[in-house]
Amino acid sequence: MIGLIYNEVSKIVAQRRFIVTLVFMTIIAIAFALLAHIIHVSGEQIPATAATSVSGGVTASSKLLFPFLFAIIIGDSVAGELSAGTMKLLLIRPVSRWKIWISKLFAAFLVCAATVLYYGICSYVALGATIGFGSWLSPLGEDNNITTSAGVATLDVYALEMASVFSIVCFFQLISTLVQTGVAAVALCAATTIVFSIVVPIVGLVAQRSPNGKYFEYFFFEHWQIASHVTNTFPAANWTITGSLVTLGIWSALFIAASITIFQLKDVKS
Amino acid sequence: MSNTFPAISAANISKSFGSRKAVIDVSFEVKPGEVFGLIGPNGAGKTTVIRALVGLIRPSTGSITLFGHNIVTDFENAIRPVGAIIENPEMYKFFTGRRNLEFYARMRTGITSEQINRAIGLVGLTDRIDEPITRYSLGMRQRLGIAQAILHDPKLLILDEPTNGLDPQGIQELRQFIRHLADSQGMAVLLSSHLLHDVQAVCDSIAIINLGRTIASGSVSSFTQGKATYRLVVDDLPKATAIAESGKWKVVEKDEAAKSFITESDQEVSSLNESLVKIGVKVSRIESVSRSLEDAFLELTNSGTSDALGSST
Repeated sequence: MIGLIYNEVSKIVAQRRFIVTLVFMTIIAIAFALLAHIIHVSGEQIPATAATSVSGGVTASSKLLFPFLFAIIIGDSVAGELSAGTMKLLLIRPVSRWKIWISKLFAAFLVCAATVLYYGICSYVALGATIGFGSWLSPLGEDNNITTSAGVATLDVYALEMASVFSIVCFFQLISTLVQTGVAAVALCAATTIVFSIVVPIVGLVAQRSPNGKYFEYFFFEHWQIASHVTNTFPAANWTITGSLVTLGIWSALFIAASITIFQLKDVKS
Repeated sequence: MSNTFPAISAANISKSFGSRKAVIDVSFEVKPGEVFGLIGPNGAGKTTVIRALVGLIRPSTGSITLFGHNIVTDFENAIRPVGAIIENPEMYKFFTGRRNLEFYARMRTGITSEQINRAIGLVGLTDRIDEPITRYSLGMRQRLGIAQAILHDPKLLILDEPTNGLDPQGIQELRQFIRHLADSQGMAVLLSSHLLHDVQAVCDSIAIINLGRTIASGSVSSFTQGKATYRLVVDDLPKATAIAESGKWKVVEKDEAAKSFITESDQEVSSLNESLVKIGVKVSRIESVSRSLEDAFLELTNSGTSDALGSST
């Protein structure tokens, strides 16, 4: 299995779009650091440091930026091989299809998790260079009654973000397994990401006004923002971290079961 | 176990895509050490059969076993001794040739770098193997495809149109290579090709598929041996062909310019020669014309019957 995962990771990172995505993330991190610097100099907000800002940056990016970039990096992991014709040679090895699918899933998760980590490091360095690095032991901030230290909060954000990344990757692999071409899979993953980022605030409003609206909060996309529990900015009120984790876990299990079933039975005609 | 079972046993396989029946009740068997040709016109169902053989598609009915292992219910054991190229062997364009081979080697256990280098050497890619495959010609990609198929010393090699993109020298080398694998290593080879000359040159047995059905199968010699066929060069073509047709000879081709005709019969050619000389027709040359696999193939696929040659299935 390790060999299979190594194969899949090597395929993702060998593609030019992966490097382009990393460059794009670097530029975004620098741009946010420059904005923070401008705000810092104008003195309009409580002075912040790199240590106290990284968790907020990662949380904010989990709403749209990360899923969108994941769509580009791994959206075609299954469909792309079908349309490029490489799936034929992949599936005529003495390895069962479900193992191949699982290796693709873990590879996608590892790469996406690494890019989130990379973004955090870039943000920390860029913010440190512009507004100062600060101490990981200092409190995260007075906002939202957060008393934990910046270091602990950042670790919490990353731990929860990994659950979100896993769920997103499971969903994107389902889409990639369902469609026949890589371009269509990437486009569909990116489109659903944008739609979900629009729908989440609406779900919050509906849930406030109608008791039936609460059911929408059980959808997976609401909980892709699970890391915002740490900064007390999770979009659905009264949800706990455990509740979000269980919801994401159930949806991810469903995505995996559906994808493997479809992949096992799929006729490879191209 | 693998020595006691046929390399391939396809029994009554059918495959439908929606309402379209791509393959209907196809059966054949390939023995270890045998080179077997699967031929048929475009759209006949050859590639569908090959995809079913390697587990890329599931037959709607029927069963396929490779060395006694069912390809659907015991996939890993069935496919383990198999190397294959299915249509054009598309590989990862962002890798070099060597990295592609290493990629496939990691999907099996025990493939050493020596085995990889040996496969590279056998297909003649040693000098270019570390280049990205975007720089490869179609023929080089085909060779790389063959290298990935033979990395693990398979007992059964399935080659779907392996001569695509190869130059005449490459085709000749591939033919010799296939025969060498079958004769010296006892490897079974299933070959699908449009180039009937290649199939005739390298295969022991063939099956002809048309409109999704096997219309004939048997040894290559059973398709190429038939009635005696001769070309006669004469000084009076109309007179000569009239005499031939009045007897038990069938004139299958006339060449007015060369004053020659091709004729076939169960009779001895000397009797026709005697008849022609008797009426004053001078015969300057008589030569035997061998029947090619292409002739048999065209006859079978155009008529849609299998009564002429081989055994109908």
